[in-house]
Amino acid sequence: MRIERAVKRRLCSLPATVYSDGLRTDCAILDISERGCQLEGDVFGLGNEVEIHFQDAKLCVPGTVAWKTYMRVGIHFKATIGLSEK
Amino acid sequence: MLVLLTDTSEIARRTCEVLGTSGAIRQINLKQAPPLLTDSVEGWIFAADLDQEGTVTAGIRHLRERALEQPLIVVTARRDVKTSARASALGATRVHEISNAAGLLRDPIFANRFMAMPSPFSNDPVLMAAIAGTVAIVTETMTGRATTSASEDLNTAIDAAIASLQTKGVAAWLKALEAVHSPTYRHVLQVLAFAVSFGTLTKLPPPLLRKLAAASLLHDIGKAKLPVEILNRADRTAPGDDAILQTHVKLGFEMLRAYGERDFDILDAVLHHHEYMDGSGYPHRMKGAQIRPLTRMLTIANHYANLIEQRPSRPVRTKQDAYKRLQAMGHKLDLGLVATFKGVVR
Repeated sequence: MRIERAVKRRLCSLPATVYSDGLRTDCAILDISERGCQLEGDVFGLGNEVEIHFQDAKLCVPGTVAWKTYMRVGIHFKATIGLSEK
Repeated sequence: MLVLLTDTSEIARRTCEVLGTSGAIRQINLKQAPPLLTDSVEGWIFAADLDQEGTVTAGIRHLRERALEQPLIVVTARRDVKTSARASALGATRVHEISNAAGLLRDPIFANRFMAMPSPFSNDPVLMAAIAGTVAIVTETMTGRATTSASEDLNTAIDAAIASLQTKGVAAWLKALEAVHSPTYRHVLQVLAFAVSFGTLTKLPPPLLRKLAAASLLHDIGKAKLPVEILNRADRTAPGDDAILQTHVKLGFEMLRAYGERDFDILDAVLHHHEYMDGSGYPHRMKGAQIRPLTRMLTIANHYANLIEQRPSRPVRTKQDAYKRLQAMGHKLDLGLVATFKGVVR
């Protein structure tokens, strides 16, 4: 049974750029919450520490990689971010 | 029991290395008088230099004890008319060249023996065939036969191992590995199992999964060039042991390159499977993104296999305990991949 987390995730499809160990990777945000997000793209080579640039929001958030598969990665933000109600 | 007749030749030495994984074998020196064999003998292996004067005579003297139904495998350096004639004179049932270690291990005398091991999975021919195939490949690589990821034998063994691990699971594979005696061979086959399951879980595309499997089978190939005393020492605390052991990654890389390995991912994984994300590994102290993702996966599978390995110097670890220790390595490993690896441990 999946335990619903207190922090709600919002499904989306937004572009983001991830920087890790000096390398840049363009990917898509699949879902996002105040504490983290799930990205899809060429993310397999990312290091442990990342910085995510949300292009639409003009926001830059540092984070750590929580889990990873070949095409997807889960990120924990180092600080909570505010999400609009829209 | 199998009886292995040997002398001091290179053929004898290499045969002993190859058969080290095949269970209880009574080794008898041809120069000694034939001993009294009290246990029931299933078959005979003759591994001595047939070119040496007196070897055939000594062999015939020992083989007087052999019953007609007991097979005799003769291991030779090459297959020519003279050697074949001498093998026939001994009464050989089958002749194998030592350069083809896989062929020797696939001989029914060993295959049957392997299947007869007391394992709850011994009645699973698919699983046991997959393990026997990979044991044969590891034996070949560890005894110096040139093997690359392009080798047909290696690819057949990898396909069988992947199919078997994806259908039967890691637990069945690990249980069946109890039949493999050599710790070095068992380690390689454990790493293969963890790597393939890990690759499947991370949804690696099939070509990359096969590369990871090949790299895990070949990752310790350099240990074939290290002194056996150091590899088999339970407590490797002697001064200089670590430095010698650390050379196995470069040795393996050089061996594979000399054999003609062209796959960069595999060469990189063999050379760098002891590098850490924080730059504290060896041989090149690489950091973060400098380490390729397949290599990071192999590092995790290799570490986990080392952690669950039974050693006389420490109590047996549960898989959960071993995983906690893996997590405790923190930023040395790829944190995202370690989190995903939890699915392999379950």
